[in-house]
Amino acid sequence: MLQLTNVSFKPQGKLLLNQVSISVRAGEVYGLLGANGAGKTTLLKAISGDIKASGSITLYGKALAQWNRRELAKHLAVLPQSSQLTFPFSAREVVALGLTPLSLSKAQAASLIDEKMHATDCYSFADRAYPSLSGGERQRVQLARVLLQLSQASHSPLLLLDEPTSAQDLGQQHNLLRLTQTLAKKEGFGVVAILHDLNQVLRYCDRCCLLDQGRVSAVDSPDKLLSDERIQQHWQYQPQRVVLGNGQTALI
Amino acid sequence: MQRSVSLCALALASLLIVCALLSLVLGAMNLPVYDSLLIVVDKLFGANLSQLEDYQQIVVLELRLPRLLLAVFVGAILAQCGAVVQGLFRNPLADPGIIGVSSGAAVGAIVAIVVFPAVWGSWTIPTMAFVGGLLTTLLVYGLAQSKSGTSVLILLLAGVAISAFAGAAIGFLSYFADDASLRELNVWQMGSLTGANDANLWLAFTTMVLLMIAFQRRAQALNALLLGEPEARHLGIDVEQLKLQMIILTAVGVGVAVSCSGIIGFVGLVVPHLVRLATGPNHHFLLPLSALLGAVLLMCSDLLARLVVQPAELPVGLVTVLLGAPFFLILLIQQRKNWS
Repeated sequence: MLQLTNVSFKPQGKLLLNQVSISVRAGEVYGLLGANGAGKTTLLKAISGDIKASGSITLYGKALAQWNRRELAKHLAVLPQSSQLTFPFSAREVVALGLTPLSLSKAQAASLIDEKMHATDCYSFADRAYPSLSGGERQRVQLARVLLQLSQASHSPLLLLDEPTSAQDLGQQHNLLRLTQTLAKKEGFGVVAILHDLNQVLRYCDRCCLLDQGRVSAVDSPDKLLSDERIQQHWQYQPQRVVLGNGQTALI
Repeated sequence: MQRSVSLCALALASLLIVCALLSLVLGAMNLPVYDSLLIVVDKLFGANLSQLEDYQQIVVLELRLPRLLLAVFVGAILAQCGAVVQGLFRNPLADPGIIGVSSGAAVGAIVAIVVFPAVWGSWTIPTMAFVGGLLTTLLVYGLAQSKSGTSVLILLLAGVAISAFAGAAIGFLSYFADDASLRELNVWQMGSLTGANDANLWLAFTTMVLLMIAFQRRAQALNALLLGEPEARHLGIDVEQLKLQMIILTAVGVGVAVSCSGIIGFVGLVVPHLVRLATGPNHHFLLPLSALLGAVLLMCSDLLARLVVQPAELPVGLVTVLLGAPFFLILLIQQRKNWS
């Protein structure tokens, strides 16, 4: 669904993305990995259109710049790492902002809002003011908003997650990643996520791309990609491996 | 939420009517209540019910009525522009007066009064006020933008600098002004509704209606903008176009308000704040309710201005500043904990 070909970004002479070519399929969770400064966030911004990179980025074969804004918003959404929102919207009103590109009747909109808030487990604080919520609660509200935004997609939508677990506690991190995994498997979402925890990468990603100084170092399934040598090379850390009861490996 | 919005709208509409009635009957010359209302009905429907003397009719129809209408229109314009500017800057401390836009518009108007009074007839002053307001908004907006969003500090400091510059420019121009212009200049600086006439009433009314329609159509986009510019863009909004439209429309609003009544400060700051406290920041409700409360507030301020030192009167801009400045300080104290 998403195809990047020779994407480069060089603001003020500094090469932040260097000839990146990757493709993301519908129905997969695609991890972006790399040490700090490797270009993960820049790449995500190039895909979301926040920065203008050279090269070609297409969604369903059509260059992003050629999409109608509203149509693109129905098919591509970004879950922000944090939000600047300081005005006292209720959680429900924030979710309702996901209606912006859609055309729905009032009743349809109301039932979809409820549905997405249940799905992301934020229905219980629907009427509380957004600025009074904890970091984790805010992110779930934002996720509900983003899911609402994608609810009228005619093709499988693409969801971009920028460090989605940074403000969450352990249980919430797994709930969120499990939910995105379900969206990929059951509803065919393509999910591109920046993740730092390699165990989460092993557990939830289907494929991942390892970035190094703005260029693609490797693309593979996580268990093949995350060899001891690569981890040592990119993160300067020698991991230990523990085989779990279910046969999966965990890194310590 | 819907219920509190309806209640608020109902309360404000009733308040508007009560204030309008009080504005008609109270003042330096006390008039019988019933007849003062009937004369307005007479005027509207061509009836002949009122017992007022001719000179009393003039007081109601040619002094008090135009003035209260101008208060309604200008109050509604300023309050809506305040709500939009606060949304645009994503900051509740922004206000066309505080960030210097009103001062810029006033400089434009004063240049028109002193330098070329009759180039485009009665359109000179509003046009120049619009140009002054627009240039100031663009300047302040450009200055306050940074990678991490809008800088409040630069916003407020730019307002201080522009207001100071405007003060100096007005002083400089008044040095060259003749007596008639000088009197007019004083009115601009203090803010007053005494200049209400058919021409500026129509101008203010049309502007108010156009702004209401234009802002309401963009209410959802303004809501999305509160999330942040990238987030609004991801929701399919052309953010640059939206910002430009809002900047031009607020400059039109402030320009027209300043050309009709001079600098009336703090209405744009106080009103959206109070409305947000009651019904939240959703622009679908915030904009029309701010227009209502702005109208009520300016009408009450003008009533106070006329009554406090009667038979003389205070400039209404003085009253709004006296009410608004302490409010602004309270807001600053509340926000202080967010900044430290």
